[in-house]
Amino acid sequence: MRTDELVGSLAGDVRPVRRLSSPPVRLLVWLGLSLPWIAFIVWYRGPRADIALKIGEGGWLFEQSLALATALAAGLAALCASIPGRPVWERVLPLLPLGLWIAITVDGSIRSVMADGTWSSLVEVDWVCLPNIASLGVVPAVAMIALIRRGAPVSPYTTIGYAALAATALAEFGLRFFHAEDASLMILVWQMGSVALLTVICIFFARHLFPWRTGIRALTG
Amino acid sequence: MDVASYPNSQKRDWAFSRAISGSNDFRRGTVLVPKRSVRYYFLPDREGKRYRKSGDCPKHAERQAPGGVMETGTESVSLESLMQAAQAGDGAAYEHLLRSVVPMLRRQARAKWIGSIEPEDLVQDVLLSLHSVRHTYDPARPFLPWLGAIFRRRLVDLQRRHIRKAKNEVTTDTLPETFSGDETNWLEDGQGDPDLLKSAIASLPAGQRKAIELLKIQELSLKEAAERTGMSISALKVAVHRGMKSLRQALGA
Repeated sequence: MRTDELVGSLAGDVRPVRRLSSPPVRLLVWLGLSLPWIAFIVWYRGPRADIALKIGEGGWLFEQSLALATALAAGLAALCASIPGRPVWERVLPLLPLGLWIAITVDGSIRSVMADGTWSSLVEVDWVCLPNIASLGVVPAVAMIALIRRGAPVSPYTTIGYAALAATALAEFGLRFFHAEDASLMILVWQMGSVALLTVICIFFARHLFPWRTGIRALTG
Repeated sequence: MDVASYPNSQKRDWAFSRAISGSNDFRRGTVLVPKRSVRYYFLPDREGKRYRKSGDCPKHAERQAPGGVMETGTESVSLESLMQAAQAGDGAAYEHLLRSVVPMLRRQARAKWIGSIEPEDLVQDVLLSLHSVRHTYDPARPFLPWLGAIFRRRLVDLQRRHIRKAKNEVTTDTLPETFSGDETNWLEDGQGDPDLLKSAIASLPAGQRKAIELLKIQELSLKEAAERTGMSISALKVAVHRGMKSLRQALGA
């Protein structure tokens, strides 16, 4: 088909479209879908026995706020990355809370090792973190992918990567309300490790999760 | 480089190439020329075609999107307003918009494409992609960076596909094997009426006739024939295939 004919065909079939909402509005929609699920899982599993003590603990609150900030910033970055032509700084934004979160956890881990002994004695096997984070993160992940698929796949790996990071960080935030293991090294290896692993797995499927749709539907849409 | 003195089409090209390179200056909604303290506004003067520095700007002047001004007679229409109208379902505005961006896309595609294939596929891919994601355009933001981001992505996708395909394909003008049926070998066996064949070839459309003459009669390679005719290798293959089919029908084989 010649380009002139294609232009005529596209112009002839054009219909009004519902403009995409701004990224902050879509982020609120995502939170509205995800937080009730997190709250439900925490209620179902039962909050940890020392939750009242933990909420009063400054260090625990700070780590939780970093996890939540990472989830929010990554979610916003994913939604912004799915809109062509937006500033690049929006995609760099999540690295700040993520970097702080990792730094705090690594710092805590190093202090634990120096105080208490070798790495292997402090890292207990805790495979249950991975399925816990996956089950907590499934609804936020599905909701985020549904929201970004309305956008344009101009940076599929970045978009899906941040979407996965947002979902898993939010899951990690919820996990610590019922998972009592709080040692920094445990968090670093099992919980943040699960976040990283699930994010990387999602990035591998980025082009399948977020393809360009330029077929018949797009032409008639 | 004084962008203000460029004709419109060059201004748009300059702005679009800045948008493709991801220039943040462009996103601020003004065109920056070498002296950054000077901002140029796209303002029509009495003739409707000249641009002035900000110092001459009357108070009621409206700041237009840089590189996005098209002039139709004395009326200036921005790409942003055309896109906004297209999102509302205005087919005429949409067609106007697409026709104005196609030359820009074509020039940038020729400049950025790595390889010898005609980049018209890229232009059409970008148009289809623009059509499928037109709901993502925010009228409060400039149009060309939006289009530039789509162009960059489609360029990468198509280039990767082209490289992947080229790694697994070898261009040859002589197939190592053929089918056993007579109808696939009838032109090679030397039988038949040469005058009838000549008149059948002469009755073919010009493109098919040329392809048959160069590839089958003069036995040039695909590359040599492509250089001589200016057609792409894939277009030559299609023309030869169609020509052979037409000859077969004409000669009643």
